[in-house]
Order: sequence, then C-alpha cells, then structure tokens
Amino acid sequence: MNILLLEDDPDLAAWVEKCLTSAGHSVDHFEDGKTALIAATTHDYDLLVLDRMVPELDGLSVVKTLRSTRSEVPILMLTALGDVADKVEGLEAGADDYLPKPFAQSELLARVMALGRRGGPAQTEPTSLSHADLHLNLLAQTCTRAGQPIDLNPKEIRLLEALMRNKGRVMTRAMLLERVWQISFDPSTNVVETHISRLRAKVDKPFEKPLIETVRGAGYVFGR
Amino acid sequence: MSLGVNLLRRSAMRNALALSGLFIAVLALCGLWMVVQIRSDVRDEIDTQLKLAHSDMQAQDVTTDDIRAWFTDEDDLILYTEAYRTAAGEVLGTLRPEVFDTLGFQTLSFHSLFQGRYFNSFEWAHGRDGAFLDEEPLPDEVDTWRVYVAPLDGGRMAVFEPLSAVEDALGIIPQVVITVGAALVATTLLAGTIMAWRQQIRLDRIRDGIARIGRGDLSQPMAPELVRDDLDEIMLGIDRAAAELNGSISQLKLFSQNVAHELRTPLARLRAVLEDSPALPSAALERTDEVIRTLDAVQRIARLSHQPAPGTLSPVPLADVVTLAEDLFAEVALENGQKLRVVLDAPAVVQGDFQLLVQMVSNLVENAIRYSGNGARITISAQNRCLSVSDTGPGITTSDDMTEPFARAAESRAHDGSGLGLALVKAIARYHGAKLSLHSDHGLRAQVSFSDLSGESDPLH
Repeated sequence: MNILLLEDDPDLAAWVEKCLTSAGHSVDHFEDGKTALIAATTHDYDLLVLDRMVPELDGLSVVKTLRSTRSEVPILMLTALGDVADKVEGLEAGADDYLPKPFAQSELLARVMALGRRGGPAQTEPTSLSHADLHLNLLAQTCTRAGQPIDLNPKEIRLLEALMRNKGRVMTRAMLLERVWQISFDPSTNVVETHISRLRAKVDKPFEKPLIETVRGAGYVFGR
Repeated sequence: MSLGVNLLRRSAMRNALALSGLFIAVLALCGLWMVVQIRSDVRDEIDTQLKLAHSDMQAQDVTTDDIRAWFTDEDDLILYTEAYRTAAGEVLGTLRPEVFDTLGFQTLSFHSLFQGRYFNSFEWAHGRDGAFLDEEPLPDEVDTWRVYVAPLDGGRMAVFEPLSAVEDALGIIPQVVITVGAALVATTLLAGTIMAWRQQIRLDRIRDGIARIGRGDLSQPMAPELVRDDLDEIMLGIDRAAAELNGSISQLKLFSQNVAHELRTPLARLRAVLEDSPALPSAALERTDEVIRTLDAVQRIARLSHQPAPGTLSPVPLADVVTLAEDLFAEVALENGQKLRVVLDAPAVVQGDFQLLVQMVSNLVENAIRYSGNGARITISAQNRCLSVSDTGPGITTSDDMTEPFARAAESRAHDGSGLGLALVKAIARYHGAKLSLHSDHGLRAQVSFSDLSGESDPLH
C-alpha cells in the first residue's frame, strides 16, 4: 500500500516507517500538516497515518479539510492524547480509526491492514465463516469442528467471529475489546486472556491443530 | 404563584415594597394629623364667628322685643341661625328649650338641637326631600351642629352653625390618602418589578457566571462592555480573577499535555523494543503496559475534572452498564475462584457517558477481583439511581481516603495496581454529578449514587 505518514517526531516517524516498510508498504513521510495536506490532495494514497499534534496544521484539521473535499481515503489517527473524547472527536472529523500512543508495532500493522481492506470494494457480510475444519454459522449461532458440534455462548461466538473475520491478521487486545465488547479502555485484569483461554478450551483443546495463536505482547491471530 | 414568589425574592422588588409601605405609613400619619389640625382650626373659626355674632347683638343692644319681632313669621323661622329663650322661659326660634340650659359652646346632633316640628322644614331649607327624618338617621354632614349660648337682655341667646362643611372637607382627606396610597403602591410595584427585572438580569449573569466558573469554564467574561456601577465592577473583578486563573490553568493543561506527549513517545519506542526482544521476560512488557495505563489514568482524571460540555452526555441505562461489566468479568472472577453475580432492581436511565460508566464499574469490579480473595462473592447491582459493587472479602481497615490518587490500603500493596483505580472512579462519578461512597462493614461495598438531577436533560438549569 502507498501510505502517507504525518509525524513530527523524527524518531517515532523513523520507527513507524520501518514498521510499515518491513510489512511491504511504501511510505511518504511529512513533518508538518500543510505539506502533508498538499501531498494528500495531489497524490493517490491508499492510507493516511496522521499524528494529531504537528506543526503548521494539526492532524484533525487535515482530516476535516480532506473530508470536506469528499476524499474517501482511509485515515488512521495517531495521538498522545489517549482519551475517549479525543477519539470521538477524531472519528467525527472523518478519521476511520484512532490509535493512541504508545502503540505496539503489531497494533499499528493490524489496524493499517484492517483499514486498507476497508478501502477496497465493499464486501457483503458473510452469514457463515469457515477455516479448515471449523465452521461458524452466524445465523444459527452454531459452531462445529471436524463435524462435532461445539457449544459456544453468544459472547464466545462474537469473539470467535472477530478472530475469524480477520483470519491471518493479528487482533490486539484493544481491537478485540472494541469489536466484541465495544469498550475503548484497557481493563487492568486479564479479561481478553480469560475469554480467549475459555474459547480455546472449547475450540482448540479437544482437537489436534490449534487455530488461535498468541502473539507475544500484541494479541492473537486466528488460522495463521 | 411561583412568579409572584420569585418576584418577592428579588432584592429590588423588596426594596420597592418596603419603601412604598413606609411611604404609605407616613402618608396616613400626615393625613391623620391634617384631619385633627384642620378640624380644630375650623372649629376655632366657627366658635369665633358664633361668639362674634353674639357680641354684635350685645353691642347693638338687641332686646327681647326686637327678637320677638324677628320670629313673627313662622315660615321664616328656619332661616335663622339664632334662637332665644326669654327670662320667662319662652323659646323664640327653632331650638329645643333644654339647649339653653348650658352656657357656652356645645356640639349637638340635629335631633337634640331642633324641635321635632321643624325637622321636615329644615330638610326643605337644606334642599333635601324625604319626610321621615325623625325615623331615619341623618347623614353626618347635617347631624352635627355647634351652638353658643350666652345671656342677652335677661334671657339666653343661642347662635348655631352646622359643622357639615368642615366634616365634608375632612371626609375627603382619608379618601385622598387611600387614593394617593393606591396610586403610590401601584407605581412602586411597577417600578419595583421593572427595577427587579433589570437588576435580576445582571444578578443572574453573575450567578450563571460563577456557576460556569465552578464548572471549570473560565473563558466567558460576564461584565458588560460599558461599566456603569458597582455591580458591573463586581462582574469585572470576577472576570479578571477568572482570566488570571484561566491563564494558569491553561499553562498547567499545556504542561501536562506536553508531559504526556513527551512520556508516551519514548514509552512507545521502549515497548516496541521489548516487543521485538523475545529474549526478555514478558514481565518487562507487562510492566511497561502498566506504566502506560497509569499515565492513561492520570490523564483521564485530569480531563474529568471539568463538568461535561453540553451535549456530550446521553441517556445510559444503568442495566446495560452492569450487564456489560458482568459479560466482561464473570469469567475472570471465576478463573480467580470467585463468583460474580448481578442484581437489577428497577435500574434507572441516567444522563452519562457509556464508556466512562463502564470503565467506572470495571475498575470497581477489578478491585473486587483483585482484593476480595479466593472464594469471595462479588455482586454488581443497579438499584434505581445507584450502581454498586460489593464483595465478601476482608474489606479495608485503613481510615485513609482511598479515593485520593495513589492512596492504597496496606492490604493491597502486595498486589499490582496503580493506586489510581478508585481515584478514576471518583473522577468519573463527579463528572456525572454522582457521589462515590465506600462501606466496609461486611467486605467492601463501593456505591455510586446519581443525583436526581443527573437524569434530567440539563443539570444546573
């Protein structure tokens, strides 16, 4: 993907650039909002990664200006102000996702991948998800693996659905908390770990090949 | 009704009413004094005239025969304001004989002055009709007469005058007092209302301004552009103080934002390094995440110190908050050897921020999970306008205010945790106009009570 990065901290910018290029993306880096906005309107990017507090024109204004020109390019906001109000403000201005600093490389990549996919042609929501011998029927709310029915409660189905929809991509704790429970803060107890371990006990443990994999310091990935 | 009561509570209106009351009292006293004064003056005047009439007759050496000659025509009798009783006791004129018994001045009623047979004629002479005067009481103005009796030519001469004119004039005075008083009250009420209304606009401005400052909004000045009087000067003074405060608060805010920015960026890099180093123990990553969470909590508490901007809160069913918390933590508690249950008892819908309320309950539940120990029962309940989280653990023994930032019970020092959990809960409760209380009789119970107002569309107004 062609990614525009707006970040005024050279160290962090270099790190983000390294993360993204190592994942196979090409990155144009800008340090102030004005030149980034000009670049965004004159070039065709697949994704913009914007810091909020930058010189000349702040990230939020860049988003607002771009959206006012009916640009639909996916935008991921980065900011030091990790608060719900800021998040809402960013999303209302037209950003597609919001990532508070400090963030893990995997968190960044997971969200970049999710946004990049969102930019593609709209997909119809599947009513059933399958991977290898695991089948999840969302309409009937039933799950089978290797032909055996697995009894999952609605919460476990939501969790499995979130993982299966992002097959092969890392889902961070924060992303799972957002998608499954719609909460935007990070509980200090191991909520996600507990639910994943319960899900694993039903979906993975009785079978030979585990499908849910833990990614150190980042989250979980399904079917990699 | 409430408008009237509100009006009475306006200081300008009260001043106007008090002044008009005082004015009316003074006016009534003056009226009374006038009545007394005028009455005595006029009576003195009448007495002087009566005496003068008598001394005129004495000076002219009027004799009994002269007088007898005046009263020959029976029809003319009533036109005279004199009457005479001869030495023999015969009355010439219209008066009753006993009137002559007392020498000097007397004030008598119509009926005790005149002989009955002249009543009707007198009526005619005064231009009135009505035949039954001896049966019906006479109006005051012809009922009171002044008589002066003095010796003349061996007999006694009585000179008399009605006091009606005086009483007429005096009767107007109370009417004048009442009319003027009514006009005065109406004027002062009207003026008071207008003054109270004008004054109130400015007082309301001060009140709203101070309330705004209390909510943490220091940016809006309240003084008018043109400073006219002391009230404007007070507003100007408050504005100046608020501006100064605002300046230092902005500096502090900017500073903490910069601190957050400067801390978070190196933390992000540190975390990235840790993430990429599988050789390091995962505890290093966990500790870093803990620092990040603490920083998060500090920032959130700082941001929640203001009242919510209008429109940021929406109706939140407390039942939803509790149910989501159960959904999140039931299994975590189970894993920890504890049982989590939910009690819903007519849960209310409050104005709030759903995410913050869930975070508040989550913090309380996480505290319970962390400190109540194995085998404890944890209850999350939504009862009317109260959210509470209770456990059957050991409770807390310290008397310190556990809701202060970084305050931790001695029992909890051994566990993880920033010491900001309850401070954040308190900040979120305050943000919603709710009150946090901790009870440690059996285990620990943390309760957040929402005021009745926090369910209204706009508290404070």
